[in-house]
Amino acid sequence: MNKVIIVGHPSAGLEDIETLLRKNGLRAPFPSRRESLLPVEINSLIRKGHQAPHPSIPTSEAQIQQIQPSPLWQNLIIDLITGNASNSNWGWADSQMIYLLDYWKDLIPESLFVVVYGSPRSTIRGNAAIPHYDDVKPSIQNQLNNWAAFNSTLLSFFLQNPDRCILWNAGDALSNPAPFIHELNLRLANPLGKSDYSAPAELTTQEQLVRDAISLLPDGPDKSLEDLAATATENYIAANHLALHPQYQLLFEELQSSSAHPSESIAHEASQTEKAWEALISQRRIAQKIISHLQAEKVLLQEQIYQVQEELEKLHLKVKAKSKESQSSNNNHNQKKSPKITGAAERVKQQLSYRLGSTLVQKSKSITGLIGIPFFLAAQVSKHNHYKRSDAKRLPPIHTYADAADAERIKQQLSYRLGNIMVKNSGSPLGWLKMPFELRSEVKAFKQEKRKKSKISKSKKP
Amino acid sequence: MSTAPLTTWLECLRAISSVKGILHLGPGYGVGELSKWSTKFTTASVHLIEANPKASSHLERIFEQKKNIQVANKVVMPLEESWKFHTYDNSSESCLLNLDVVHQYWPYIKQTNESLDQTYPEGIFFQEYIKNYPGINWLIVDCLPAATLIRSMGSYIDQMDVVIARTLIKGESDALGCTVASTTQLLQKHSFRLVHIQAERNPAIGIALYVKDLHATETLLKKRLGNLESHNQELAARLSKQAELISYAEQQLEEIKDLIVERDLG
Repeated sequence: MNKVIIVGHPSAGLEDIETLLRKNGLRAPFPSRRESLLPVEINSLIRKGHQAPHPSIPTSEAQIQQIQPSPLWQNLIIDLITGNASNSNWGWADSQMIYLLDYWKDLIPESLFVVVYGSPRSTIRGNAAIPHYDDVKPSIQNQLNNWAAFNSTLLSFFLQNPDRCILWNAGDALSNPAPFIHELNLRLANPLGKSDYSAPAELTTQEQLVRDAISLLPDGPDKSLEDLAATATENYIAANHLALHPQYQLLFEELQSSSAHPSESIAHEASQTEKAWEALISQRRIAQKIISHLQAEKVLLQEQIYQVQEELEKLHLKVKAKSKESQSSNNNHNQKKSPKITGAAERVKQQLSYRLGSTLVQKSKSITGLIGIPFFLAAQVSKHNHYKRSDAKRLPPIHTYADAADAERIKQQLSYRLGNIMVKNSGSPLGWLKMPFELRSEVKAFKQEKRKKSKISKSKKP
Repeated sequence: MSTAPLTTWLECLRAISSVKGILHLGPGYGVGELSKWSTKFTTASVHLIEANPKASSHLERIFEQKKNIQVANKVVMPLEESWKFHTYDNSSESCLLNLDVVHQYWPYIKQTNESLDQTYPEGIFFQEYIKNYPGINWLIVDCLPAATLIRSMGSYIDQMDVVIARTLIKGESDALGCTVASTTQLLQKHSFRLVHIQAERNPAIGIALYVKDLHATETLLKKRLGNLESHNQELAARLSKQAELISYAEQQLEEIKDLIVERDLG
């Protein structure tokens, strides 16, 4: 056998066992060749594909049915095996394997199952550290039922396939790895290469939480850590709960009696009320210390926040005042530098195009006006020449005016447009010939534009 | 054998042979499949005999409200004095068998010294216990060695309609009475027929279900009746022969008396 499949309840510390075996020479699997999937990912896909819940959810053995995947899924595993053809002594840990024990056993005859288990008490103690899925209530009872369902399935598998499995107490394997590794080496075709029995350095989530809390205290973590954990109280509650529900302890006894290397301490601890009470009091004291320390820190932080807020407000006011100052100075500077000029519309109206066009429009409304148009136009030309000679040269260009937009508006008027045609065509005899037609078409175009605009404005009105 | 679960069998048999009283030997903490089934009755009397004091007190507590259930903390022994109760780290396996035998099906089990601390009760003989409960017609021997314990009941086994026994599934008939072969051999003599075996989590151990074969019982009873009749005829013949002998003796006595009278006169 050269493939090791580590399987156990999520609370049994599978990752720690895997880390221990890695340190002792068990190699990680390569991903499959085509899909680049690791065994855990393949199992996850199969599990989800068959709508099996997460292993921490079932609360009875009947809910953990062995999945019989179709040959379609088999290709994934063959791909994985092909990808690991050059890998020797490789393995992985996966609690999802609980649904696929028979499948992997039949599919890979040279695989060895390392079945690890923990006590029901450790499950209760690790209750807070296990992630919860979906809407399952994370009660002690649910946790214990899940532990029992999972381990019953594992034990049945072990008892039916003793030649393919090693059953080991997870805590014992971690605290005393030598016999565990020795037993594993006896079962493997090629023993694992290394011997590193040091315990995994990584702390569990719960231990990390406790350490984080203790680190707040100024006195130091030595005894405080023990007091905060309140192990005696925890044990007392767990023992009392388990005494009311003996089925869990009976299953644990069965696991122990099936294991080649059972844990030494399996007996019920006597209900040590005194110790439990003392531990609870110590925990309360430590908790109060932490709370008072946190409160003092909170007050300190609040004061600091107030100070920072005040500083920020001052800074904000300063910045505001400075920005006002700089804005006013800028305005003054701008005003001095370039005074605002208005009257762009008037400038356009003084242009020859507008003058001619305006005269043409005004005078075409009456017969006497029509007759006198050439004279009126000539008068406007002379007026414009006079204007050009007097003021126009000193004035700035129209686009520098503040109301330059008004000039554009004037240029769109009929007067300007007609005048513009007249100015353009007055330079040549052909232009004079074309002028009446162009004037007419311009009037037509203007009227059409006007109609369009009025339609749009009407449609916009509610 | 059918693959139907044990409880389905029990429910079917219950319809055929009504439960008047159950004697359950070794119910443990009352969490097993058989224990749950046997303690669900509300009218039939249920007698639970458990050796483990902790388990027994747990049973007393949980069945305190059920008046038809009686719990006894007893170690039931066969009639021979040589048996001794052994306790193991898997308390469900504590029994009369010694470690060497238990290792055959639990290779790594360990013996504990719990039995030495005097918390376990003194042993009682099965026959003496059961004779006080004539209404019992279902017997559950949820411990090993079932055949030895059933044998020690003597003729009281005949009052049972159904016998459920924990046995080793494989193996020939053994002297200790652990295997299903030895249990079947014993119970066949009492007209019981094996109808179902269900393996436990440990595939070496199973629960065997025996039902009284009424046809076989009838044949047996007829045979017994025939034997009794022939025995009766033999006794009648002996009686008549004895009567003849008595009359002959009386005749002889009369003759002797006459001879004595003649001698005295003469």
